[in-house]
Amino acid sequence: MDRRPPSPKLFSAVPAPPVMLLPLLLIVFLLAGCSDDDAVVEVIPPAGPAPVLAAEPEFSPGLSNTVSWSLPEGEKAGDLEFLVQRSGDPLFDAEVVESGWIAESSFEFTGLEHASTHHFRVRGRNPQGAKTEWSSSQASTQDAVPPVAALTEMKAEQTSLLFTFELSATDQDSGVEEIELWFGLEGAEAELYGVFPPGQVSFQATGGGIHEFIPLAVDVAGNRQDLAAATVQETIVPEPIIITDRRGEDFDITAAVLEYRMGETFWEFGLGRYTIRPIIDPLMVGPGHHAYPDENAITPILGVKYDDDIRAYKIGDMMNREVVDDVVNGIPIAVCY
Amino acid sequence: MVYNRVLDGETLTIAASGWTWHQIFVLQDYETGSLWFPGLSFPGGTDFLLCVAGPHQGRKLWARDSARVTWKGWHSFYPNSLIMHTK
Repeated sequence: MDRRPPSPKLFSAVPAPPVMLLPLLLIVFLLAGCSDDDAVVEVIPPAGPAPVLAAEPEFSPGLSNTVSWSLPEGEKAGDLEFLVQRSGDPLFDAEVVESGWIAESSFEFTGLEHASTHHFRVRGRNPQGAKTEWSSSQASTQDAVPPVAALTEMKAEQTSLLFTFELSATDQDSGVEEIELWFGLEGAEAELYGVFPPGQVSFQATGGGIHEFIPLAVDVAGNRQDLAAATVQETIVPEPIIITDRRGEDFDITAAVLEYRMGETFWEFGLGRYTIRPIIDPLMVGPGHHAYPDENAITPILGVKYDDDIRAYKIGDMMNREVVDDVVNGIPIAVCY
Repeated sequence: MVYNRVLDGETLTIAASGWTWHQIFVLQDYETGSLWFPGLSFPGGTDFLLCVAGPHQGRKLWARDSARVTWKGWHSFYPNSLIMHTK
């Protein structure tokens, strides 16, 4: 709403002789002047609440940092301009660098030093020149040095398609966040196998051949190790040794043959996984039961005693089924012939 | 032989795999399909099942105390012992 005083209308509204007009003109002029002064105060709308800086991470990667902000919920940016400050001083008394007044709601500070900590704050200004308060400040430390990953305990030759090794990484500043594990087969383009925390990793190869592994670490700030700074390690994965049982199921026995020397030619029968079912939670009988054996029977048994839970399994009963999966005194056990 | 069948807090169901190696039963667990073989068969092996192939490869299930005796010998010490009944 235009609230300027309608003072010029006084001329046309009051017809008067020119002589009488002079003092009137003076009064009107004074009044109008007065009104105009009042109007300056009334017309400029206050700039509203301070913008809010987006939360800054403890560490920012590289040598630049983009800070952004928004207005409190329900407030419209309208035609506010913003001024962002950064300073090494949490109180912004010294070392202050400013963005200048800008219309955007983010600003990138560049040329920051590694390991330096910066505080940021922002304020708004409307077209009439009224400024908001400064926002609360946010701080972040620059981390421009990426971590270094290493791959250890990898054998030159594997004995199975599933093998393990250790991933580790070091970082000077923000700390190691995760390690990307890349692998390539026989010089093919490397692909990402997974992202892991430092520690042991299991790798499942899909076939034999020379495998190249490249670990790339990422730090908490977000710096990613450059491929040029990575350690590439090779391992030879054997061709898989597969045997097929009579039901057509394939068994990968590569590890059994190569690691544990269980020669392929001595694997026999292959009746099927579910052909010989174990006895699970067997029925147990006690003294007095009609099936309870005579105390003088010389039947061979396997006996277990875990505290007060005492059980016996006839060897003859186990021959057909090979395994009894029982729980004795709360302890799960496998009784094998 | 009696073996523990809890690995990393998970109870495994041990069964015959249908295979033998040198006339000895190769076992499996139904949960992962890993193959297990008695450690006694390996040089320096002691009382454990060793996983020789599959997701648990290299892991061991250790033997627990058990006695292989006649029913008479067992019953004279433990007259209240239960015994497995199969039909």
